[in-house]
Amino acid sequence: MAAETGTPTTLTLKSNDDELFSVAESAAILSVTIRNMVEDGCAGGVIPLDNVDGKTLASVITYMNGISAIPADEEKKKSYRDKFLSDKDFETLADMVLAANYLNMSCLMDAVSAKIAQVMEKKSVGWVRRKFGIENDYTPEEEAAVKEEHKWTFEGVETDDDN
Amino acid sequence: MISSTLPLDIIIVILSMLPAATLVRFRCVCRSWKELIRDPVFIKEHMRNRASKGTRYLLHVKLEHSIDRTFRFLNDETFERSLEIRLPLELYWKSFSIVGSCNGLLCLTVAVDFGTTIYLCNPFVRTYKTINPPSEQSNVKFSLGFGYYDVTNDYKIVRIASVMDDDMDSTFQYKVVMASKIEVYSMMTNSWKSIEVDYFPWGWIERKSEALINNSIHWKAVYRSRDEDIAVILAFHMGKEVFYQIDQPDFEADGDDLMEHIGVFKGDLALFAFHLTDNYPWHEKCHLWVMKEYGVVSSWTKLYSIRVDGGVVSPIIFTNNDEIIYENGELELSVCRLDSNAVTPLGVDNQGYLSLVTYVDSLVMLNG
Repeated sequence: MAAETGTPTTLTLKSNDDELFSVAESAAILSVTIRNMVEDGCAGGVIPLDNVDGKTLASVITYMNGISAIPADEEKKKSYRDKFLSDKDFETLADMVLAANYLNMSCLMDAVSAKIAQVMEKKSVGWVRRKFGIENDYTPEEEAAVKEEHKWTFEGVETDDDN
Repeated sequence: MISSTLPLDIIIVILSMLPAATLVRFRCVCRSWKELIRDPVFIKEHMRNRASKGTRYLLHVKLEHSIDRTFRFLNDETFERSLEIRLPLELYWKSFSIVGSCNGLLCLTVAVDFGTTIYLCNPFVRTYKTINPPSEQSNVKFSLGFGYYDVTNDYKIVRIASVMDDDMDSTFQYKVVMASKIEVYSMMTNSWKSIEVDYFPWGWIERKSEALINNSIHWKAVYRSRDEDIAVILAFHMGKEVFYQIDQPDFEADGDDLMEHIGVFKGDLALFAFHLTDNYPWHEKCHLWVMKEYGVVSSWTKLYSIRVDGGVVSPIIFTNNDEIIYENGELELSVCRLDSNAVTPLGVDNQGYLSLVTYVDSLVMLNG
């Protein structure tokens, strides 16, 4: 471990599309999944991360490096997370929440989930179905009836054509 | 496109962070989302999430003598108006009093009919129901309390009836005989039941409870022994369904003519000892006492002392930012910082009769 030897240790992570990434161990162990591998001594060579693609892993590593460079200041960490996620589209966020879940990174998981919720808040039912890949299994009559029960919740919803 | 569809457990995490109104709309997405959003386990998880991370509001309702029949929600830090929700039509013409607010549910009672006509209402999902207490009683005064018992995930209303004695005593106050009947409503069973108590030495019970903490409802009350009356805090545990008493701090040394207000200050049972406007000694201070360790009388600690020019007509609520909101001598709403004693107007007109309660949106009672 870095703290014991005094020299920073670098880990090599491999995405499921065979891209290799170098990352400081101190930043990578924000992931409990990676930390467990390190503690079990499986981190000697390349750590394969079968559930994360290269694009997403690159983004997660940017986050790992960024957040671990911030000293223990929850306000600053929060503003870093907000800024980090601010320009991400829904698809990227969805990939990141899956990666954060797989890597067991609770701080990233919470932040991305909250960001997705924030993006969804004013969206239409149609938008949600498309983005989540959900098939509408209501009959038109049933859907109309469910909608009618709480019609007012459809006020102020964004129009459906924003991709 | 998403490289893989999100699994249900992640979807649940995301959905549990959404406002209640958005979730009500998303019942239309598909059958399984509709089932999820009405699932009591999900509703409980959502409620916890909103309570810890979601938006908290101060609820401001203009009551009698007002045609403005909306719930107005103020941001709990800036006190800016955040949103307004119309009252359910059925409650529109009624003048009511807020008995309590808990996890997005409001317990309301019609003001002129205090304790006789009672409603539960969730303004964020716009549902309400009438809770008819079973017994009609005359010449009684009701005290009400509303709360949540987390172990059974149940909401309860307590109604204590005290018989008014027509005879006046030597101080020309109506004598209040001991409580005559205690009834408890459970939302889970949707029914009222009577609670049998052999010994109930408390009287002058505050009409509604302002303090819900530790699975118990608290009222200001008087313990009546043969020799003397002692001001205490009466508590009702919603799980055990028993009453007990908590001694007030000894604030006699704080000054004469102090009134007490019971509330919750940052998660602790609190007592605010204040001077009423009428007999306000200008040089004296008001004091906030906090019970650091619940139920331990020796843990009462005087946390703050403030001077309120003009006195207090009624303390209303403590905020989470070391403030107290109160009605001042001009019947305006003011905010006083307890640490610096800085007083500012709340910026909300105090027309008619008003209640401020903290409120978090939830899906509770979505299914009626």
